[in-house]
Amino acid sequence: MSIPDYMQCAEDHQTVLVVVQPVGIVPEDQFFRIYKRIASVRQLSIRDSQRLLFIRYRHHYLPENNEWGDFQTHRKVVGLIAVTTCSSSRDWPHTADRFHAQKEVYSSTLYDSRLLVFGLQGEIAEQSRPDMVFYPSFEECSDVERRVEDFVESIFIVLESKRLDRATDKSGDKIPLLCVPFEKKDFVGLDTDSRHYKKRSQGRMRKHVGDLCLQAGMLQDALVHYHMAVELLRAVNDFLWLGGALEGLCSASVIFHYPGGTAGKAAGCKPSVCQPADAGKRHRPGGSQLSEEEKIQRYSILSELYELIGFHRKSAFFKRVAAMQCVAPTISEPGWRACYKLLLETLPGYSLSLDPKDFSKGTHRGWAAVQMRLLHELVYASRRMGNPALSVRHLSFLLQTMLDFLSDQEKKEVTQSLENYTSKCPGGMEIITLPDGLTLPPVPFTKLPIVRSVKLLNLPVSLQPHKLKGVLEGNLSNASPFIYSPILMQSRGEERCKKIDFQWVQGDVCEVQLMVYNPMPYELRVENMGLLTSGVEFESLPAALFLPAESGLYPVTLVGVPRTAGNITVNGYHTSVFGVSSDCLLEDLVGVKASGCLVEVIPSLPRLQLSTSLPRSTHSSQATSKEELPSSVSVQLFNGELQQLTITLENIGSIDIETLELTSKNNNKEKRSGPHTAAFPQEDQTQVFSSTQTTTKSYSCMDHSTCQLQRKSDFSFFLLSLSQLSNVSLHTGVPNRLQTLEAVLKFKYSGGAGKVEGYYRELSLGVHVNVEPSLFFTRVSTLPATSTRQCHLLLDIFNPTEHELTVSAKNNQDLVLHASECQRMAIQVDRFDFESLPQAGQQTPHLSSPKQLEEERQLAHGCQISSKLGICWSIISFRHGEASVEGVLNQLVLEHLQLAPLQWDVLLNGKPCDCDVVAECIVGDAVTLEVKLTNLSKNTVGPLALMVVPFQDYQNGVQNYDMDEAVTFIGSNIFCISTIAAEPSNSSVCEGALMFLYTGDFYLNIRFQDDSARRGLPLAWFTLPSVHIRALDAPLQAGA
Amino acid sequence: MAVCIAVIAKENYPLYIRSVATQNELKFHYTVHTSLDVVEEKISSVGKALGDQRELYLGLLYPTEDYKVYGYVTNSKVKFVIVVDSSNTSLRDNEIRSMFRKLHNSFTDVMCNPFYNPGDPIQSKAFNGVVSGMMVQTG
Repeated sequence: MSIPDYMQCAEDHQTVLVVVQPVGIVPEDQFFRIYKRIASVRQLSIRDSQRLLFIRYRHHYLPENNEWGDFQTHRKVVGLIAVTTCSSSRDWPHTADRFHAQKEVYSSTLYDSRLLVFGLQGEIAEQSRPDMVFYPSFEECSDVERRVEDFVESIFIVLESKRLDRATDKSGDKIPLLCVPFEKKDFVGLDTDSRHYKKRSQGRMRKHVGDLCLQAGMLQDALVHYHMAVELLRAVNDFLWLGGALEGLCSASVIFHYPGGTAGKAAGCKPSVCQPADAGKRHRPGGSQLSEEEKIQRYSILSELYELIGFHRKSAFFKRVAAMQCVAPTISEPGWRACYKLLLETLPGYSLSLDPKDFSKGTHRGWAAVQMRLLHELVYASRRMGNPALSVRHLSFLLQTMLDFLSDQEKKEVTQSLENYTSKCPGGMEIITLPDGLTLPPVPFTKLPIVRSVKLLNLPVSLQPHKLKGVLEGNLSNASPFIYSPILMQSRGEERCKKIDFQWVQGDVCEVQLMVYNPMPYELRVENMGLLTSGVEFESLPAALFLPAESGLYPVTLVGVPRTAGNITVNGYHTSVFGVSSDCLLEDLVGVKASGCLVEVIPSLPRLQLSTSLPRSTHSSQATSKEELPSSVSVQLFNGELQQLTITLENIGSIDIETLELTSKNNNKEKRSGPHTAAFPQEDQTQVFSSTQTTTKSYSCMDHSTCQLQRKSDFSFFLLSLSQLSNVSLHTGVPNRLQTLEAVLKFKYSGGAGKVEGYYRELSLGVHVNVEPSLFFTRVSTLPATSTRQCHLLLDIFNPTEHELTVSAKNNQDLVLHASECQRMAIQVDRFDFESLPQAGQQTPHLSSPKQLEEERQLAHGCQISSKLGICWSIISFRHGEASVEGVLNQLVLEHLQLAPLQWDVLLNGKPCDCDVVAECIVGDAVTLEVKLTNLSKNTVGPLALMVVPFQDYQNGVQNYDMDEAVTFIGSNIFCISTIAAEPSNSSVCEGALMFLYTGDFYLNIRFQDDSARRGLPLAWFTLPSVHIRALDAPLQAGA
Repeated sequence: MAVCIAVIAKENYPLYIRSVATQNELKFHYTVHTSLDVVEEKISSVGKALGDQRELYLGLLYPTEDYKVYGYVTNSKVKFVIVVDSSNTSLRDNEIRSMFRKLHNSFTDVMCNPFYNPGDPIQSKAFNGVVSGMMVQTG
């Protein structure tokens, strides 16, 4: 067994080996002092030649190594210098024996030997012996160097003779076969006469001579011999010796080319030692005699050698073995630091870097199984080194880069141990720098969880800022000079930093949605997940989440509040998983869809909260789908029902609302459905809401459906009142034909810095009314009442609901209608004086055509009639509402209902009398009859002639007009009324008298004498009331 | 016969590795991994010498005390490594060659599978069967 000397270098091939050893008891320090002096004689120039002899000294040399002397002569011990102490001559024989014994060890190779004896004086010392030198003490030995030189010279002589002997050996004698120790038994019984054998012997011998030449300082000769040896040995496939010859050749060349020497640089690295070392390993598997340190050294050297020949994997393998050897269980004090250092050196061999970025792209690099093993070992070694931060970093790296290769069980184990480590030393994003300068970059857990897409979310519709129109857009500069270009001027990289076309608002919570999934076979707990941004001051509000095992894509919303205005870029997110906090940058992630991460943050705007008295639904009908209302109020009403809606606006932000504007928009597809802007009083628009105290602003909106008004089909709001408390009542007219009504109320508001920049916010509220029919008027007709000032309105009312309906009108009894029942209702109404109505046309000056004007007027009439009638309905106990006859009244009915412009008053004895009034008079007394006509029309009326015809009604259908004997006129029974101009309240009175001769009930029929006078005027205008007179007997006292 | 059979991708990561002694699988990982050094060396030297007309079979890569490692490289630089027991002297070079050829044919079949993504670990049953056949101890 040979122990390789890893410190050898090329120059060692030309040295002769001299062993200096103590014999007997020699104080160590003294010995080494002497040894140093001896060793100072490193080279010697041979007297009568140019040659130099180099000497290599060893104080310890294994005899086993000596056995390799034939293979390489510089490994042969040719000289022995023994150092001994001998105090008395008595001890001398013993000492001499020891020296001889020592000589015996190397006897096979030794050329010469010396014994340096210290302390012996006397006759023995007097003797002059060639191989022994006596010194009285260690101090008195001035000529040691000279002695050594003599000794070396004698060695040279032997060497030179051997060289010459071998070199000139050209006889036909059998050349002995030189062997290395392990070959000896292989050649037993081999045919020594074969050509092959001879060649081998020749080659080996030639190589040996080359070695000797080299040692003897004959470089040129050595090169020649080596060349010959190489050729011979190559021919016989004697690889070990061929290698030896090449090594010699190489060494000789090195010596020749680098006279200054290569030592130091090449120390321990020459391939020269490779062969024997490898051979030794190969052929002596039981290398257990080696000490642990030697093993480590051997493996390290092996690793270095493999590295040199480019076998990086093999090199890494042996380095790892060396590292493991450092902490072998047999070692009492395991060198974890050394182990860790060696393990780090193996990284390149396993194509493993400690930067996770190298693994983030493309396929995995290298052999995962062995990489994982190495990482585990690094983790363990760093932990045993007492550096938990390092173990956490390595373990994180393992988890991050090897996730795809870990089995479920391994994943569990790795994460468990990671959690154990981080409980003591949490992992972070700092770069760990090792004492030797190696830096360990941080390992962000981009796979725990895996992020698939990143999307910045717009603010909720109600909080989205809008730019006031007319304010010039600032970002026109980045627009292309072309209005349209089919070439998209963007690369993938730009896409990521493309500006998103919505804005965030300073001070408002902004959201980013990530689609993530958990690749782990168990629930993943992600803590402190937040956004990483740049550009503006951003307060990230971290979230904690639990992702179920092997979850599919899972949406996660990360929120934060921008604290300043400007452009914000979302760079990534940070997480804390298993106690390791990571900053994951989007640019480092693979396969992430990001539609842009740059968004503008505008200065802060106020926030308004809207609440309604009625429940809101998210119901969005098709008509409003474009608008995307955040919420709408949905009401179901019977036609004519009144519903009050109170809208409460609350400033929930911290900024004053400086302006507030209400707009309503009708969504019904009618011709007059343009937006109606409610006219807010000026002071309300600029009302400042207090920021410290939450102000509540209420609006109430009354939703009033009126019935059967066919022409009014739009849905409009009338501002009824705006009290100090800001209660807004909105009155709504709902035609019964429409099944649904929709409107959008928009509150535009702004304030603070955002207002300065020209931004505002809009809050919308949809109002959705479902109208169900309450009652129908199927037919309307009139009957004249007994009084000319009144008339009967006959309404056929139909109940289309499923409930029992009670209909009531002013001054009338209730009418109960069962479901789907139709009944007639008669209402006595005073006739209307439409002329006294304010002109509707004045309110709507834009309606200019006469037809419209007429319609408008009719509408106004209808309204008046409706309000007079006051028809109400109620569905048992819970619903009630109004009904309107507007729209069902036709011209004829209207005319009937209209108060005639010619007002007739009949006075009997100065008392007015009308149909129902029975005027009483005394038989025989003259009764004055006064007929007064007041002209309220626009035309001149008259002259008119009236004839009074008395008659008696027998109440059986017979009317007796033959009253000449019963009634007598005083004067004419024909009255004349002169022309009455169309002046307001112009009237004309004509008087007459008559006398009743009998008692009884009489009627006076006042007729017109001539029809021509009232031509062109409606008949109804000339209807005079019939007068009912009861003639009584004269009272008794009158007769008495 | 073989104690370990491995298929290694062009980028030098394993596509397939199977060994008999499952209790020490990692050892074979190391063996095959380190053998890549020799494979690379051989490819580079062969490539220079013969150009395209090269022999796919690389021969014995290196012997260890217990095993002999043989290599084979396809034209697409996919490597096959077969590890056999050193004690098994019955295996001749020719048999090793035929094993590699069989392995190559089966690998070609795997690659022909439209559902196989080149670069993914091989999970083909047929391929597994072929490998099993080679690893059966034939005495």
